[in-house]
Amino acid sequence: MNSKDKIINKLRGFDSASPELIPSPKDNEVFADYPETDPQNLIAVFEKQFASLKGEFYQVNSLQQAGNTLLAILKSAEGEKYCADFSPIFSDMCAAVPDLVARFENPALTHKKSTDFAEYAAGVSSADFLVARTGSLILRSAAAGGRRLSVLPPLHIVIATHEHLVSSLDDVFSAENFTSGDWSYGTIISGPSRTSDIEKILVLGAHGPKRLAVILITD
Amino acid sequence: MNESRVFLAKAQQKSADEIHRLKIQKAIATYDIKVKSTKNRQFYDWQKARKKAAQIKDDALANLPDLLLQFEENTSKNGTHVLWAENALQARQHIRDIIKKHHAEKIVKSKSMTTEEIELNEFLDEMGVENWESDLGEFIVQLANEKPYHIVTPAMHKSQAEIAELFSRKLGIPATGSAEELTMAARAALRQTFVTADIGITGANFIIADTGAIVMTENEGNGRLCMACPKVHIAIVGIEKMLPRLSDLALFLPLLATSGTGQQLSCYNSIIRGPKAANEADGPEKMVVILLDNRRSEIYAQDKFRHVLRCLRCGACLNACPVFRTVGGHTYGTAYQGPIGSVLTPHLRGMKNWSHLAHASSLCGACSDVCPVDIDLHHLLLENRWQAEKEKTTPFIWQIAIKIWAWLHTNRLLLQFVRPILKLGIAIIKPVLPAKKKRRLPQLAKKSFAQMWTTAATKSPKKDAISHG
Repeated sequence: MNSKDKIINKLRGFDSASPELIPSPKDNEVFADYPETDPQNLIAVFEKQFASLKGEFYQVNSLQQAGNTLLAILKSAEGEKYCADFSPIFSDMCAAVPDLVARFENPALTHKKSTDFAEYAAGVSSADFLVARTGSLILRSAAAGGRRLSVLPPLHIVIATHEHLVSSLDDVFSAENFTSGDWSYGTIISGPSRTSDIEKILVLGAHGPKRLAVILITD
Repeated sequence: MNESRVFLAKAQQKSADEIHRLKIQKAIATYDIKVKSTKNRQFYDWQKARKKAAQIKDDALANLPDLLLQFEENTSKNGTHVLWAENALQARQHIRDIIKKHHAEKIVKSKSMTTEEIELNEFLDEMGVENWESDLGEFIVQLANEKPYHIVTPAMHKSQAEIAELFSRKLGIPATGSAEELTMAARAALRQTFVTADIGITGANFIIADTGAIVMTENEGNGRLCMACPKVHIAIVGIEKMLPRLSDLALFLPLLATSGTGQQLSCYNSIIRGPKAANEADGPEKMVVILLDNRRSEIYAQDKFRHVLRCLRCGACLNACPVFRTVGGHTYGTAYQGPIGSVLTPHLRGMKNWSHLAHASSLCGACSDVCPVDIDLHHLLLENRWQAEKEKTTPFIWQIAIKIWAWLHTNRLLLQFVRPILKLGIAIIKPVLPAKKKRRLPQLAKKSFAQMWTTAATKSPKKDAISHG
């Protein structure tokens, strides 16, 4: 008998009854800060939460404004080379602001090694969801340029539209097709990388991005 | 020296160490403030939330064998390789085989208590593989050649100045660093390790059956880097980390973050379903999940203890425990410290050497109060004491003493002789004891309870009320 069978058989030896499940409370029954779901309010709640996590929030009305905002943010980056996921929204933005595209590389196309990522001062990606209640972004590897682009560069910038906004995590996990499609890795990001391992003093930029910015495009 | 004596010796030393006490008090005070405000801000009803969480975990445990098989089936579809380990030895062998197969020379690890449990670092050192802890707190204790002090805050016992001195010695930076400078020094030192390591080893906070995923919670991004850069990712997970549905995370992630660090959500919560998919830009070519039993199935077998397997390893019971706060994490000599460690360790490592931990408690119940999955920790400590007596793992003299005590206390006639005998005994011993030990002898009250009762009963006008009360 192999280890798997031994473990499973051992556990099966002690059959136990499931507890009677009380119906799962929805987020709005558990969480005191569950936001109202009208779009304007969701933006306001997201902005407040994201700012409290030390994220940098920019709300714009057009792709062109988004592109110009991105250019402005990049001026404060630590270097001149950047990478992006070349998602549809990024490409649309490049079409609106032609200055942009030449500044970016797509590491997926150039088969970059991890050691080469040191040259990128910023990574730009799309996101699949923005969660208002917790000020979080949700990225999935298949759509957001993979795993490294959003964690290795010291500055991570996310481009999203108001259609990506949801109230809470419940909405994400109950979204139809959340788990469908070939994606191997998803991450819920709440603010720039941080640590309090030394005397509980908060320091940003432990190993992941030191800065995290969101450019939200609304109508 | 046996473990019990080691514990007492270390506890005596640590509890008299005022500098240690100040450091721990400061860290836990900061934690307490954050947790309190996040709990109030985030939850309508914390009690309801944790009862619900307990119930979901109980349900997962009741169906554990099926859920484990479901997880294996689902994650295998994504290309994850699942290995099973009955004990620490098998888990280490699995890891050794993977290292050999991929000719790996450099390993980068994220924080994982399960790897502490199987003593993986020592094993990798013996193998001669370069192995780096990448969580800042773990990196600090690794450089200091120490064990983690706390399951969430491994370097809680070190001051900024001590860490600055350590980094200056090991990393060659000026010894005057602030917390920020020290963090940046660790970032710089480990960056090259992340991008050149052959294997990333992580733990996981949850196993999700319906999605075939593991979930990892962290703040620094070191875990993400361990799963993004190296070409092989190994995750080692205890079989009890099971949740039936991905949607359960909507409750468990905020619960864990609130209890662990007083955050609404931890900075990064990663859901990992497998190695790099064909359509993706990057990610490990190979992903292995090692499901570890290591006596969890024996805890599972005991009705009274099964619910301890709900534990999320948030560390809240350590922070709440007056004994932990006084004797400190290293005194326990275990992978899991504090109340949860005192409950678990005798079952993981044997009652014989570890039953003394059940007495490292004032039974105040603070641990049970703060537990986000409602584990009745202090009653389980009592249960461990009972088991230790039953299995006769306590010292012989103690067993005899308990027998005599029980005999005396179940016999009213004999009990009245205890006082005169004790009085006589103290009178004989006291003059011959060295001066230092004298004040340790108990002072007997002037009158016994029975004598006081008789006096009170004859004097009291409310005699009837008392006797009927």
